[in-house]
Amino acid sequence: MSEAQLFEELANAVYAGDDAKAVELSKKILEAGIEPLKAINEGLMKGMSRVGDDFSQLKIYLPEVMLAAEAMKSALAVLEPEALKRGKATVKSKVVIATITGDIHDIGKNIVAMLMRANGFEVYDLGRDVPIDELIKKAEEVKADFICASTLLSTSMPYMEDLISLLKERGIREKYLVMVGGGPVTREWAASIGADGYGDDGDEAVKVAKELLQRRGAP
Amino acid sequence: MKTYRLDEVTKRALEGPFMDEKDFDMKLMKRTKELVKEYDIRYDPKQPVCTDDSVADDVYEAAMRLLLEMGFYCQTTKRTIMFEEGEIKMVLRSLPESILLGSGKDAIVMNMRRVEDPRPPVIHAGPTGTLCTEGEIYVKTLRSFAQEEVIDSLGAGTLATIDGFKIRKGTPQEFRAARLLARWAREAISQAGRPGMHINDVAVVSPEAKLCALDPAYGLRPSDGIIVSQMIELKTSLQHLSLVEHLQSYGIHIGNLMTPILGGYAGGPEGTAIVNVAEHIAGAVCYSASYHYCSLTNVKNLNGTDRPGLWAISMVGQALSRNSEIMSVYDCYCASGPGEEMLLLEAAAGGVAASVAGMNVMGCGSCGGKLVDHSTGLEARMLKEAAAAAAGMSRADANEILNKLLPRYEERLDIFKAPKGKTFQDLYDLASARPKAEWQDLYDKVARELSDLGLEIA
Repeated sequence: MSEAQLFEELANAVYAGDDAKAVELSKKILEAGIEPLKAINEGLMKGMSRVGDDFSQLKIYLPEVMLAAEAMKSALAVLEPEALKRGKATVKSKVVIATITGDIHDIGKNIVAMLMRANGFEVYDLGRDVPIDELIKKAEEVKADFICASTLLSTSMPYMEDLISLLKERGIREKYLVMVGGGPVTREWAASIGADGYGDDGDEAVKVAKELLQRRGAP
Repeated sequence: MKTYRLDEVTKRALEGPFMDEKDFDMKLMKRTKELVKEYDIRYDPKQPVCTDDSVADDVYEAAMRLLLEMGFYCQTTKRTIMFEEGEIKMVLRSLPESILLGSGKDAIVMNMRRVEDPRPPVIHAGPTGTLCTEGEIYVKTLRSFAQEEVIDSLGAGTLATIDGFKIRKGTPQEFRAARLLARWAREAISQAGRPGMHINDVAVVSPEAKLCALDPAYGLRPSDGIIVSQMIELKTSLQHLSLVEHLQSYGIHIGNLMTPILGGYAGGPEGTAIVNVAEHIAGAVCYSASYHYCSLTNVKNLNGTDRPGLWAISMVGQALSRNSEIMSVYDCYCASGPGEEMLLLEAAAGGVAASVAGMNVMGCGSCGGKLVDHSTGLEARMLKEAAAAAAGMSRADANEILNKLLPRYEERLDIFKAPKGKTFQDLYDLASARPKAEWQDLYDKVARELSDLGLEIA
């Protein structure tokens, strides 16, 4: 099997959520002496990108996305250590994400976290009903690039404003790219509170995060 | 009910099998997929309302198995509340076939409807899940619903502010909002000349804040209702069970609110239907709910009026109508906004699908709840009129109508592309809370078109 064929098969295995196949192909790739980073980018990421596209058009649903993410995780466990050994692993951008204070709805946040992780971000998911100071504390601790806050409730939206205010108060607003989203949150409102980014859905959130990084000139 | 039962539920929430929530989600996802496959349940886009009784029975059976195997997850204790089948059946046998909502001359009877039931459904109507401006505008918005004669029960909207304060969960302002939301709802039904009309909730988030609305003089009375939510999917918390405890002792009706996500953990329409039927049963057992709101939400478009959404809700309705006395109410959540023909079409389609499936109805939510004051009584009237016109209709005839209605709006269902319409203030005369000519004329035009399709809309 050619390199291109192996990458295509790997992408297909991720798309199908086939753990065993994804691992088997990853091992084959290493045995063939193929650059693991290339396999991650042209196999795993490609498969996950198709998953993201199809989920955004509801051609597939969350269970398929979760299974694909699992397959990708299993394959990464094979490929990533080898990439690191070769000093070729890319530096991952770090994301601290949570459903913000007062809200226990987390399915939207979970989808965004999963898609970001699958797109190469290092994601720290703090869960739901998370106070803003905990988000900031974790972001400081891991030297995050992004702080992402989600809510389904209008009564939790003010805490997103508080998050940005507290970052400013502490003089660290410029250290972070802040993204917000969720049911009642709109693009206009996100801009009005001074957030850096907003996504209509998980797929857009990933795209916006990548654009923001490019603009910032980060890894 | 049934303090004894709530004690037992609490005991199980404290002592049931421990499980990490992510593991519960994953198990639910995998088991639901297996059940869909095992029962060979298939969504057919050509039939927005499934006409095969055996599929509805299979969905019910699969849902019962899912609930018995998974239990009802308590987020507070991370334990699952498990049931024996006999216990569930005993509760289900005790459910009434009809309930009285409201009081005095304005009281209405809400019936357990059956598939293709000729009796018109009851409608609970208000600015469901929609942000509203506080004060007089809120009262007028509610009045626009209450003074529609066909509307049976008044729902609640969500306030962004109270006395100018942004409302945050668990703050004094949220508690005040609960009290004032109830007072304003009372005022609205009084202005509409229907002081005993059933009010079904105050839309605040904290379970404890909802208690502030209970007030026989100025707030919610035992003849009214309060919604107790489930969390997605098949989850509760001790806070919600505590709310049930007090609501039971106050004697008010409990509405079990479920927001199954189509495309979420349950997967497509087939799995979503199974999981949501299980959620209804859990709500009957643990919340002792009088009625159950099926507020199905599309994971992307935040609505429940698309083809797979209508298939799923009508499957839920049929499964419950054929196998239980659990009163399911379709919560019609639309992508478009007031003043738009599309909103009336979405409401009509939702009403038809729910009605022939044996459900009652609630609505309408609009614009995914993102826009302030995008809610009026007229779209709720359309929901009720369409549902009433479809009462007694065969599912096959309903499908003919739906297959003509859906193509008129389904391409525009993307929440970010759907026409957003105008606010209540733009579309209504604020003195009388009556629709202005542009909105009324559009309603009349759509009503005529629907009549031509076989739906006799008043």
